Amino acid sequence: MDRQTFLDLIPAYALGALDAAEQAEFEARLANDAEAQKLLAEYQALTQALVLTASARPAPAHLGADLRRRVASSRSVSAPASDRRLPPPWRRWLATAAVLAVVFGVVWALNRMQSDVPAPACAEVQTLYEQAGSANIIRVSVAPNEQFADVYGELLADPNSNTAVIQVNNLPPLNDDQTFQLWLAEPDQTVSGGLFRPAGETTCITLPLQLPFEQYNGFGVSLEQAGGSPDPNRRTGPSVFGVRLNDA
Amino acid sequence: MSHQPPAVELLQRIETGDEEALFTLHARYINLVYSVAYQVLEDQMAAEEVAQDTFMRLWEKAASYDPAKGEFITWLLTITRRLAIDYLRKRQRQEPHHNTLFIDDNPELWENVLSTEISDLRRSLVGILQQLPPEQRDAIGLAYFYGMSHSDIAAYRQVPLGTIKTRIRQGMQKLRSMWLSEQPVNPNSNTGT
Repeated sequence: MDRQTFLDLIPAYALGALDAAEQAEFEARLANDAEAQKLLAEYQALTQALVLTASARPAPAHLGADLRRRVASSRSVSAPASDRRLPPPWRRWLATAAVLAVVFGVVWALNRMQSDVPAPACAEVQTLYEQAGSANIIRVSVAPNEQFADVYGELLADPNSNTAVIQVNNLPPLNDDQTFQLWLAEPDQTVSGGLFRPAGETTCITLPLQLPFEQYNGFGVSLEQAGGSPDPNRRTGPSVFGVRLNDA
Repeated sequence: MSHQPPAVELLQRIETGDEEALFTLHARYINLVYSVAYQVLEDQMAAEEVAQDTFMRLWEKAASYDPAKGEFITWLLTITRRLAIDYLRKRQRQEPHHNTLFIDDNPELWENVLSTEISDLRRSLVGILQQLPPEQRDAIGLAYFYGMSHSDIAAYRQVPLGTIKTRIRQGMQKLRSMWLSEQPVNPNSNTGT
């Protein structure tokens, strides 16, 4: 591009409006042009201030309490203050699942004393109801594979907080060299959500959502060898159950 | 009148792990952060998520704010805008549902929180934007708040690419010229807001 064309693109570059090919060529020329860099700095100061022109609207009142919960949640699995980077999502999920398994095991044992009391919801499901209210929870039944027809349960999700839990019963017992693996069907790929073992009669699985809940096509659990499927994007063992959300 | 600690002081406390400092900043700025998120996303649930992500980002990266590079509020809201545009791109939608660009509703929500100087700057900028031809203002808004490129805007508005490039260039040049003639102070100075 000629120099005038290059200079004419400075305002659009400051806005972030250049197409990809244009941007690459622009940046290559900018690196060696002090005059252009100075002009760009003026436009960038202007575009930074543009953010102040957004139409104002009051935020929902519950966001303050929500933030407190999020910070408390990040505190419970975070590294020491000297290193506040969050651990990978699958590690946070495993930590949460381990805590849930212990909590649920105790509650389950107490409830066995009363045979007419239904299996209690896990702590994560209870928290979902408390935060979202039952009217706002999305519920989808799990569909077991024929081989595991006794499995039953449901997915419960709160799109507002992008939180979802699968509460499932009668997962088959595992040998020492087996594991369950969670799968999340994103729009363009399937990804592993981690490995877990059943917690008892009822197992609760917190889904490590990396995308907004409504973007997922569904979730599933497969039975794998210890260590999980050798393919990070596809189950190798049999499907245990699935939860279908969208007709992909 | 009770003392309101400046944002820079609250950020320093956040760096030491002071959660109440984060919640104080949240209470002070959540309306503005939510406003920017909603401007981009036009969806309450999505705007809430991005607004909260902004403060979690602040919680994790308070040390990354450099007062020498500009006002805290513009730094914070720029984080929001970028998170919101990333969210839009993941949803594969980059076109607005409604025409709400540069409509100055509820200005008191801004002015109750901003310093006098920043509030004046904002009012001045809103006024200057209103003086631009509508098609230039529209192109600038689509690029800025929706992360649309020249080609995206041309396709969305169904006008030639060269027309959009001209609208953005001329609009921004006018904006800069009018803005520089009105601003007596360095817009990059930090007033401790």
